[in-house]
Amino acid sequence: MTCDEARGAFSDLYDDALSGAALVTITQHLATCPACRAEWASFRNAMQAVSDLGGAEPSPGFADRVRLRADEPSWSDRVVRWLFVPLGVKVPIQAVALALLAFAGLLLYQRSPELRRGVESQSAEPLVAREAPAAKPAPAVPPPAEEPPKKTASVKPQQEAPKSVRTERQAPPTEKFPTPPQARLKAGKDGAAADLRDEAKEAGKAAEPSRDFRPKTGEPGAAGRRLLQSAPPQAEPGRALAPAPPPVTSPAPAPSAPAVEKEIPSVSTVGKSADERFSAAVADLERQRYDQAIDGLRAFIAEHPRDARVPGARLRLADAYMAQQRHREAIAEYEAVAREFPNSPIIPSALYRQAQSRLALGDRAGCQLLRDVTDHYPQAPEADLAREVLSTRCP
Amino acid sequence: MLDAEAPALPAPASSGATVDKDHGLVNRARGGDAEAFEALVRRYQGWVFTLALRMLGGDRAEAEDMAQEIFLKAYRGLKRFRGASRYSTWLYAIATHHCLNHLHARRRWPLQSGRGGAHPNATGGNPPPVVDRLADETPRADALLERADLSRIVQAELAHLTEDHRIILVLRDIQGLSYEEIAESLGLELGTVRSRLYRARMEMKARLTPHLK
Repeated sequence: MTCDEARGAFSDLYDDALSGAALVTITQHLATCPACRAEWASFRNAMQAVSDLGGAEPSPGFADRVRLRADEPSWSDRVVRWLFVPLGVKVPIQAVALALLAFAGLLLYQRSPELRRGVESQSAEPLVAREAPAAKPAPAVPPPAEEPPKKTASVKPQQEAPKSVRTERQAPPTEKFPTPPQARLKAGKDGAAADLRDEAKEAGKAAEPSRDFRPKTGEPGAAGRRLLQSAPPQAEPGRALAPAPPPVTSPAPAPSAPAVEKEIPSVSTVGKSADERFSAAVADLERQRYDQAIDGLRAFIAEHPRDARVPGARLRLADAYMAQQRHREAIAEYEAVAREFPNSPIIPSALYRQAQSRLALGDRAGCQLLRDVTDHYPQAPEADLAREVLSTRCP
Repeated sequence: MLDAEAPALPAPASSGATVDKDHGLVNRARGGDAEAFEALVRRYQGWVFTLALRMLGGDRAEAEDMAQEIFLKAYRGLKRFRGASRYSTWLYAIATHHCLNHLHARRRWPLQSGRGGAHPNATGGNPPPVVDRLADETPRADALLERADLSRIVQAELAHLTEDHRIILVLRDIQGLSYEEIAESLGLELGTVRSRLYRARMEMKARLTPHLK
């Protein structure tokens, strides 16, 4: 056995793990090799020193402390217990709280058009991508016509108008009026909402018109008059026109707004028959009974020419014509709105829709009207729509 | 807390070598008997504490914390203990892995692990050379020797070994585990245990020899 072999066996020798010939061999080597014997002594002393470190005991009360800690639930148990125990109480509470939170968030979003517009304006996403999620069908709303206006004097916060109008405008004109893209539909709704808000304002004379729908320059109404004057004349009856292309974009059919009608003040100045007439006509429009709606709106305008809802009624009348593809009559009504109510905030909407009817007839004057909307009413919802249509139809 | 419905472990084998003296206590502890668990803690607290103390370089407070964590881990894992091995072997495995994991974590995040973090002069998680430590903490090494304070030197040199060598040396030469128990606790082959123990011992002998002359 060499010295290296002998030293390689020190560990086993120390553990008494050698036996037989191996034990005899290393014993003989150690007896005859002083160097290995010294190494072995050194090895054994070192291992003995390690062993002498020995065991140690923790401080008194260690087991009690461990038991105390063992009795405590673990953090995960504590979290689970805090969240779910008792299950029958906390889960329903959490579900209700979650539902309330979601409802509050939705309500806040819907009732804060400024917030919504701010979010939209800050977003760099394309308009379609931005608005598509919002165009989901809204919950069913009871027919507006059956709800007579109830409120009288005070104008409710105007933020309520968009919500009710938006839900009512979900019914698209499917047959006579091609369904516009979702985003445009949504934007059209917003525009109509503004119209109806303004209608309520006019009726109540109590609220300031939203500056969003003011002309960019000049005093209110001036731009409308100017645009009306600059608008190309309507095509002569019987004049040959280019084949009408498919309608470009069209706003949702005529507005109806039970909630807004609730907000219409000064019912005392409006006879009951006016309410019924107006509500019935709006309901007809909602149900796409355009002929009845046109008759009803005309009757309302004729019988109550001084009613505050007349501008809105004329706009709806034009919308009904437009939905029936009677674009010349629609254009005439839109022009009448701009001519007879130059101070009304619904002017951009009337201009935009007139432009659509003109484009549907192949009349390029519609492009100029769209440019007028973007130039003079840049803050109106119709301005965004007009820019879109301009980019696609009026390159 | 333990599941009170945990089934009882099968009875241990009757041969003396495999009889688990902890079987009864373990069964009761699995059933939620806190007294039985406390008895198990008392029975093994010295062993677990010693392992932690030697592996952590002699810091009693840190070792006690670690020993508590090991017992708590064992307590919460009792319901998964199937009795395939002795309770002591199962506990040893928990303790050794917990120690090694702790040391790995301390090496990775020296400031977050342990009470005082790593030694300021530490490199790579290892403590400073024993001569430096002794120079910091005591007047002279030979003075320590004169006071027969060999254990401090041994502890310091032990902390100088790699974790793999340190734990196998502690398990064998301080805790007195058999090769088989070491292999089971560390999840190693017997041959690996034998060769690793040899290298650890030779390194320790080389480190201690200058202090022992």
